[in-house]
Amino acid sequence: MTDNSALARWGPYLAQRLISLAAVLIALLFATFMIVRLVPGDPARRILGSEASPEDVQALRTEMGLDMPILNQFASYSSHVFRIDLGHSFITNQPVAQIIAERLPRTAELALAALLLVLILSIPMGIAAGVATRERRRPRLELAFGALTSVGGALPEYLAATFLAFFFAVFLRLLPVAGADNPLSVVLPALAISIRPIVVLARIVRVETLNVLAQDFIRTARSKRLPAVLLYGRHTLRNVITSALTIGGLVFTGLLGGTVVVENVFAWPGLGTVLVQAVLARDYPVIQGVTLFLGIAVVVVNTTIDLLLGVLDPRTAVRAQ
Amino acid sequence: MARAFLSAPSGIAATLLLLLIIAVGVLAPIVWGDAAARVDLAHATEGPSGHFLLGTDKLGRDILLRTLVATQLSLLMALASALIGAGLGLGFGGLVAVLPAPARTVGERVIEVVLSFPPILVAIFFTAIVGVGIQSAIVATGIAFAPSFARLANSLARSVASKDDIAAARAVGIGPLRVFTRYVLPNIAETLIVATSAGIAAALIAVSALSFLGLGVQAPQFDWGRTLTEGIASFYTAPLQALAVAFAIGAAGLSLGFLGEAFAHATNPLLWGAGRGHAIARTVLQQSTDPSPRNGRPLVLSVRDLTVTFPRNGGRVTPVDSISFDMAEGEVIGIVGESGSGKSLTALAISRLVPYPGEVSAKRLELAGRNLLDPNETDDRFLALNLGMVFQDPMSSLNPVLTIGTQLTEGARVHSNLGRREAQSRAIARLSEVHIPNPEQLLSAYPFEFSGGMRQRSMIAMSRMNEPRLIIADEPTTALDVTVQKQIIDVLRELNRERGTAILLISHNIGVVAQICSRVIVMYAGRVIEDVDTRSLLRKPAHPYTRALIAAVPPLGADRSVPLTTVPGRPPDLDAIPSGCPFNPRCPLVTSRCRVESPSLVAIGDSHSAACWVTAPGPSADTPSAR
Repeated sequence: MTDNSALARWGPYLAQRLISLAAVLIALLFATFMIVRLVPGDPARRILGSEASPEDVQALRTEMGLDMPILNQFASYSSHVFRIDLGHSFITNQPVAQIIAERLPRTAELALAALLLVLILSIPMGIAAGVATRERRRPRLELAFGALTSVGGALPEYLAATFLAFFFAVFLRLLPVAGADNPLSVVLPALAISIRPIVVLARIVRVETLNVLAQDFIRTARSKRLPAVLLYGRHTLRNVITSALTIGGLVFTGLLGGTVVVENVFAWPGLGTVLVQAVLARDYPVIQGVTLFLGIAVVVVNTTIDLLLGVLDPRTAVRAQ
Repeated sequence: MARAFLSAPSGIAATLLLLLIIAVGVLAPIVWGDAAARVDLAHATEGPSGHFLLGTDKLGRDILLRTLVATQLSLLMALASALIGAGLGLGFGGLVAVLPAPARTVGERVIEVVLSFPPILVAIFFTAIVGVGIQSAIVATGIAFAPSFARLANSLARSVASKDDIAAARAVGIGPLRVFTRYVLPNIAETLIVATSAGIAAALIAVSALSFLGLGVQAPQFDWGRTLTEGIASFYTAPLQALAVAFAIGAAGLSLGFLGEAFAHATNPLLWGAGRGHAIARTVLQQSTDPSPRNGRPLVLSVRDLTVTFPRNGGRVTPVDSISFDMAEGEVIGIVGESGSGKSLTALAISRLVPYPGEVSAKRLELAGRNLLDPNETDDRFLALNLGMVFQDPMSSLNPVLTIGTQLTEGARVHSNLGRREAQSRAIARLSEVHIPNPEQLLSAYPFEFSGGMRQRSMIAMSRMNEPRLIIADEPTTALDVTVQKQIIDVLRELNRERGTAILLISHNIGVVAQICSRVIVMYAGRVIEDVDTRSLLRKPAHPYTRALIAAVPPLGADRSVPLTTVPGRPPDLDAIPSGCPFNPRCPLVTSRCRVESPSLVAIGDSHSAACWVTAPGPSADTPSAR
């Protein structure tokens, strides 16, 4: 394969993905910009409460730029965002960018730990279940797998967190139930976040494994008497990964949503707790900054997955054109 | 559909549990509403007792009663937000589906993008706008779930929007809105109602999450989410409070979720289907006897009474029934028959690839003198080095996500212990043998980038990687057009002449087989009905079925406007193979004996035998009576 044909194959696909990424980022910018403007009534009045003086309200309106024409407001908001100036918290007066920078490592730690658990557990589980139950072998195992994954898949993160916290922290007193002071503190929240994605993904991987194992090319691979490592690890996995990745974006965003909720169960000092506190305190700059940041994370990850898909399954890039 | 749904055990259990929860939701606030709100500091944080079954919270309120009473508000909020989500989503998604193409694409892209954000984040985002409280939580949750409803409605609507009557409605100028309400909505309503009820489960989980985060229900009102927060705050002193609510949310979510799942099962029984597959089946070991060389040449393959059975409807069917033949080194033999004759299964049985749960047995099944029924005597390496396989459709038989190079080299690297470079240069040599131009470049290409003929050449090159004595080619030309078919046959013939590889060619086309094979085995209903050298096959075919197959071959340059001759009638179903000769219902020469007694294969000449009472009566057979 020459570089030229690789470029011909990839160029349009890459361009298409990047244009789409840019469009979504602009939409995100606009959506977060609109948070304050969509608040019913006068945002400044709602922020300051009914006891504030009209002068204070007017001062805040000016400070927030609410007096300017809306397009100017958006231009000003955008240019600030591009300079990573997300404003200051109404409550603590701390720069929002700084708040995010402080909290981000905690959330990233939690999300990555959960993602690791998902990847390490769900794909081998799903492939093993698929291989074991292929061609309707072991119907009882299939039934057990189905029941287990149905229950696990219907268990929201905060309930999983509650049960895990009760069992390990309250009942066994093995692991810390709140805070992030102990290196082991990450275990329970990460587990709570990952249970649902693990079983959901394992289920999909199993069904996909069954589909792949029934394909003609698997019979060809068997006819070459390949060892199980190559038969399942290469011929099956490569095809399964492709379809697992297709919903990989959904799994990741699910993890992010789970993180926001579960952080609040375990008093984990990340972006989720900050966001919820900000909503309760109507701290709009913080809400804007954190939602914008989380939104960008979602969009960037989804685009990355799209590109990865193109590499793993070269037909994707061709089809998209 | 409803009956299938209710007959599923999970459907019944989920329905009963849900009815119980709804009953609690309706009755609990009326019966225990006041008791659940009563503060009794004298009994604060008590454990379970006869009076307080699950104990009390830190204000002395009964945990069990509060959990039960909270059911109503939680369910109502879930219901309301699911309805809002469904209403918004269905409206948007359905309308997008009936818009003209460019607007539709944009609309669908918007749905996809919004869907990529976690619903709880979207809900928090909207709570920030509309504020904190019951109504806000309902609205925010509804909006958060609208995109998934929109996508569902969109894909459903598009599937019906392409139907003829809707195309016709559009053609006569009916507007999108009217098309949607009059034609699309009635068609998808049932599925949507079900999706909405399943959506209630998700809404319950999400709206409870908002309350749990403090963004939904505010004190002194309480739903499950709010009660859970209070419970977690006093986790160490009164853990039962959090647990009771968590169980309540879990049970409600599960029963609602199972309802949707049971329904999905009822409507789509294929959901858990495993489909067909290929795997190594159980083989039944039998005593083997000494093979005898054929025409002085050593045997590459020796088959005696090879039988393949599958369980079906409580019994067993026998798609391959006691077939026997020998094959010398370097020989090219064809097996022909219609689909269902057992020819492909014979190939799979020899190569130990019969799909589960098929069972293979034989008096003898030997490859190069070694017993194929004993995996210790013929291990994977032995098979890989001595037997190559070529399958029918090279598009589906090659892995779409691996390069040709990987697929060619992997077997040789494992079983011939070649390094990467060595395996690659061997692959290039094999590709050159089958006349592929620029084989170096083909190595890094994917199967989908090549024509069917090129793919099948690669497949043949792949089967040759370990230089096996025998190649089994199962319908290698069937998926290809006529000129390419001829090229592939030429490649196979060349391999046989120049490399001495024995080839077992499986085909439904007796014309293809006669071009290359020195001997032809004709199969019908799992049995060999004629075994004949190619010259005798063309000069004096014995079995009426063989004659019919030859008559069905279109002559070269045949007038294409004349319909092809086919063998009249159909091959028998494996469940109901006729007694006597299995071909008798279709046979023009049938006699009364043919309907009763099964003829066995008898020699009627040098290297020619057939199983027919009429044309191959054999020395000991009685004279057939006339019809």
